Amino acid sequence: MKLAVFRACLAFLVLTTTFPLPVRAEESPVMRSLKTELDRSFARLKKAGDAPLYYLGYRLYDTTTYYISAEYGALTGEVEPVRRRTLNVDVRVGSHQMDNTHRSGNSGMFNVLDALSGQTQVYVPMEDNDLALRHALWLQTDRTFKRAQQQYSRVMASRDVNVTEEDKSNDFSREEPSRYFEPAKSISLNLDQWTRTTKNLSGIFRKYKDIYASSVVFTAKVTRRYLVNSEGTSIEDSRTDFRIYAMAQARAEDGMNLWLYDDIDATSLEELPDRDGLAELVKRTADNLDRLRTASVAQPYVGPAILRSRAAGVFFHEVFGHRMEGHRQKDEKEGRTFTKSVGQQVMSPFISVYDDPTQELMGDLHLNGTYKYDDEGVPAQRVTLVDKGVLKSFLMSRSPVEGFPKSNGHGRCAPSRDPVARMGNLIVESEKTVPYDQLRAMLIEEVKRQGKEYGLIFDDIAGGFTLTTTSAPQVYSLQPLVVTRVFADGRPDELVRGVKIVGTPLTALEKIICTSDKTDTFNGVCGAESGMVPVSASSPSLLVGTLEVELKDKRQDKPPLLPPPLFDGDGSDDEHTTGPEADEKGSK
Amino acid sequence: MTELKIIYRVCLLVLIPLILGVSPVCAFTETPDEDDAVFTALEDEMSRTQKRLKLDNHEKPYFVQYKVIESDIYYLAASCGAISQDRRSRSRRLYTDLRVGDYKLDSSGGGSGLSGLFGSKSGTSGRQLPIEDDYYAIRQEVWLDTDDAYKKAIETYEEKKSHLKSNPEQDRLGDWTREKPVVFIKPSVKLEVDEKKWKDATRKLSALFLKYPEVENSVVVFSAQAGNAWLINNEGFKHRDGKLQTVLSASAKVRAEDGKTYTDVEFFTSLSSQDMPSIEVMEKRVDGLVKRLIRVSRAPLAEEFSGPVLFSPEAAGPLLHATLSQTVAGANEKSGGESLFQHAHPFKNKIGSRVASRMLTVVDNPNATDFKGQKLFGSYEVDDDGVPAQEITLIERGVLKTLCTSRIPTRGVDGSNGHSGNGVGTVSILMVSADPSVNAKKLKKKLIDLGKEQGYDYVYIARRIAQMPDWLMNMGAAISSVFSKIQGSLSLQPTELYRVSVTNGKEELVRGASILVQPSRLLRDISAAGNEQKPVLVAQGQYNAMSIVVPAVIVRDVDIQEPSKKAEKPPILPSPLSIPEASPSP
Repeated sequence: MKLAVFRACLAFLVLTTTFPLPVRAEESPVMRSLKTELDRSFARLKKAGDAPLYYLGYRLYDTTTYYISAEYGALTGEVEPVRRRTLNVDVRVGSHQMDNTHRSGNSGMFNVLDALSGQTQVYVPMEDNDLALRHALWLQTDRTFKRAQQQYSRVMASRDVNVTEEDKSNDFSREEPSRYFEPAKSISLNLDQWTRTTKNLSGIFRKYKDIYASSVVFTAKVTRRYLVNSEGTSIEDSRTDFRIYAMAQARAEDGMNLWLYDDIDATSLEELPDRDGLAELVKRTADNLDRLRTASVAQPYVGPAILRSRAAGVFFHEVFGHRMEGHRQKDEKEGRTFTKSVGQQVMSPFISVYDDPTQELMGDLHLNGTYKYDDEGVPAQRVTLVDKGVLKSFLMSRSPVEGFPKSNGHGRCAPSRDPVARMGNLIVESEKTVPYDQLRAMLIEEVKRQGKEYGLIFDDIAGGFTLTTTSAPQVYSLQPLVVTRVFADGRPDELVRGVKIVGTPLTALEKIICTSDKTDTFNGVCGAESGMVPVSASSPSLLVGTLEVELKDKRQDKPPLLPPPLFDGDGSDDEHTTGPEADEKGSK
Repeated sequence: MTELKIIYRVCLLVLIPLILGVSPVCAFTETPDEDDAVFTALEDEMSRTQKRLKLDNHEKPYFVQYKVIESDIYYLAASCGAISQDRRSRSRRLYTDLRVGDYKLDSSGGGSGLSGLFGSKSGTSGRQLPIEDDYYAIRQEVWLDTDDAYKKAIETYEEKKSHLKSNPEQDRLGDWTREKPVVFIKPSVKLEVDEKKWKDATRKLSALFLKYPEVENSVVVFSAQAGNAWLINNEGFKHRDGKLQTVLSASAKVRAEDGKTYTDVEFFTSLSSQDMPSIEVMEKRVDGLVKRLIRVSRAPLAEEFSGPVLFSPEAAGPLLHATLSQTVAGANEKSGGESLFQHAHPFKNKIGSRVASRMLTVVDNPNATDFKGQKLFGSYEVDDDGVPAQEITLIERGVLKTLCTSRIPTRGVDGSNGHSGNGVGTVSILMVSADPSVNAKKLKKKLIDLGKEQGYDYVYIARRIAQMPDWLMNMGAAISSVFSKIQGSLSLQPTELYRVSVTNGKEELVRGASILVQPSRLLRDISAAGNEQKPVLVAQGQYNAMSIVVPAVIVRDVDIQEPSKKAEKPPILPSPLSIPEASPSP
């Protein structure tokens, strides 16, 4: 019914997503179905297995996604909203102290087979049909309950054969139930206009002869979330996400594959730049890539550097933030870099770091990692991770670690995943700040002091990845997109390509010399074991004493043999030479 | 009829070059439309490629072919009267086949690399193209794909030449057959589907299961698809074709008292969604499905058996389709069993030998659209390589005459016979007939006589075999079917299997058996067949179905495996559907 309305609306210009208003205040029909089945199941399954059921939770995410993708001025996929409901059933048997989710070390082949065999797909209705929804809940609950019993017996067996673990904290924290209801949010989107805008933006790349692959993607998403559990938690709220993303790829003459992207994430349509602003973003991406294509190849380097604006936030997020996630302190497969460092100095004494999902704004920018309740229904809290260089706390979900028995509202996940501790709005504060120009001057001083020829400035960093497990070295690797050399002898700055930041996190953090006086924010999404979640990272620009850079592996492919069709022969542009020199002039 | 067609083709073949004064091109339908941006982009990039794409010290490509596949699918799923999935997806993909070398030895096939190891076919998943008819946006991707393909082709070609130098192959067949170019243009199709109507229909059909508390889980899936294909190559082939396909499937799972579960599927198909059976007809069959499943769940368990089994046409359809797909198709030179995960093809080098029982004749006719007034599905006029479809007699009185071939050379077959499915020889609409044949009554008597001869108390009749995406309902079954495929045997799940007493001919339904057959042997083990051929629909993946025309057959020696001892425990709580409506908390 609702969907029919959807489609009919497509014909018109303005499209509105509406969710049925709850009949009675503070509870929708979906919530009622969830509660009915939860109550029935919890009451009757409590003692139905060998291990007692002590916690049952349902998480239902109802997502409608608009996805418009275009390249070279033309659409690459159907423009139509996709609606999907994702159901997660959380079953815990045993006790808070030790339950079926306990990490038992040997999660071998049998688990995989168990998960697959006899598996029946459960179709979750997206219509508010009580019986159909409860039927799906019933099947999923039954299966999850049985699997939990098996897991629990494995946990017990493994406890008998393995040595005691270092961290003896509980498997699940006790929390107060939360009740929260907010009216459904809707997206009011002019789909035709956004289709046109996305196409036009992607068409900007047509002007760039040497950018051969590119795309622009616009997504809008509204998620209605229903959380209910046997402790009495009942949360019904909504979130909207908007994202525009431009990606471009080129190849340097020596075969090095180069790419750049830029994106803007916002929680409301109004926060996105207007059409000119978006065109500016795409052009900047294209121009930067074009310049990068002919930039000189970087050399391996160890020395002072500035992580500028958003690059600083991303650096902190990857290098530090992920290691603050509570569950990693407990998992014996993790490196646990900071596990034993609480109360110790871990970075420069003028740096403080906190994560605050309750903070909505940084200046006048909306932060992307803001939320009221996490995916375990625990209220979001501001957590001080580092105070004046001293490590204070971790980001906690309901999985306790030694010394931190409670959640601080950071149990987060994407629909269809299980929550673990994740960042929300990571914020770096500094008490030693100077204007950026001065910071740059300090970089040159430091370069001279260390007797180097040049220092590096990193302007943008693409996500990168960080390895936190013990099987891999405790290093991080970040892919800087725009890197500039600043010379000690006053030569003009020089753009370089083909570097990645490597090294060990502790050393990089200890060596922050000074920061700028202006905070920049990166809004985006972060992927980890519990899926993609919206986050932000804010930091002033950082001057670090030592950063290590190595060369990116480069592919040896030659650039395409023939020129792009649009620039070949009778194309309107009169360029006939395909040499890089001619092009470089053109773009400067 | 077939001969007529061939003559017609030959005529055109002679006429066209006379008129146009070009290289021999055989045109079926000439609908020149200059507005097709896909063709224009492909043609322009192809001509540039032919003229100018060349790396120093390396050859130019001798063969360039572009194929674009466009798919527009509308997909619905419903359970218990509520829609659970509703989506439309549209995509266009480009498949470039660019070869360096010549027809005898070219860059195709990979050879010793990883793709050769896994026995991959032509191997790529294609490249995404814009779905809009934007000439430059399309050409940009064609350009990049061509460049990639050329560089890869050169590498493969050099690698292959050096591999052959140190491992010479005797009597090599070549890599690519020469075929007469064909121009075949049909209008492309658009997906038009009444979404509201089908939402109502799937809701209504899925709600039927609610009447039966025995049904533990069920789903109704509807898909309507429009597929368009464009193909051009530098030999002069030009092909555009559009096809519609609509499939509705209803599957249900019923649990027997001992905890074992049984699933079965009813499915309906038509080209346009407008030609689907009426909702009443579907309701009736879905109702029949549940009743059948319930009967099955209450039947006694099947027992281990090896001996004669009679397959009704409905059961013989999936059985023979699966068997023939693995034997009379795909037997090209590259299917040699040399790669790690491929066993040797059973019918390779068997042309002229007896491969089936003397009474059997098997014809494959992609052009067939109906059989005695009943519609057939899966027909085509031009295959995936752009080669015209040909009716071929695969097996004549038990002797293998030819194989379904694509442009990949096959020993004993002269070129392609228009049976390319994704570049590999593939069966299309198979027609199996038997001479002598007997009526149904005599056939059953034969079965019983065979049983008696061999000293059995019981023999079996299979009336229905599970098909259709089993994985929709059961992941475990999907995995085991993959395993049996790897072992070269075929495991089928009969959903209606009867045990027949040889003393009085009484039939009793049994449950849980699976049938294991060896495709290489099965055709020889057919010892009798019915005199009534029936078109039967065989599921092909999730969105497709095709017809096979078969009689009932008796297979002399079939292994029936008893059900596994394993059973999953039934749900602990009763279904919310089966309990009296608990009043929701006020």
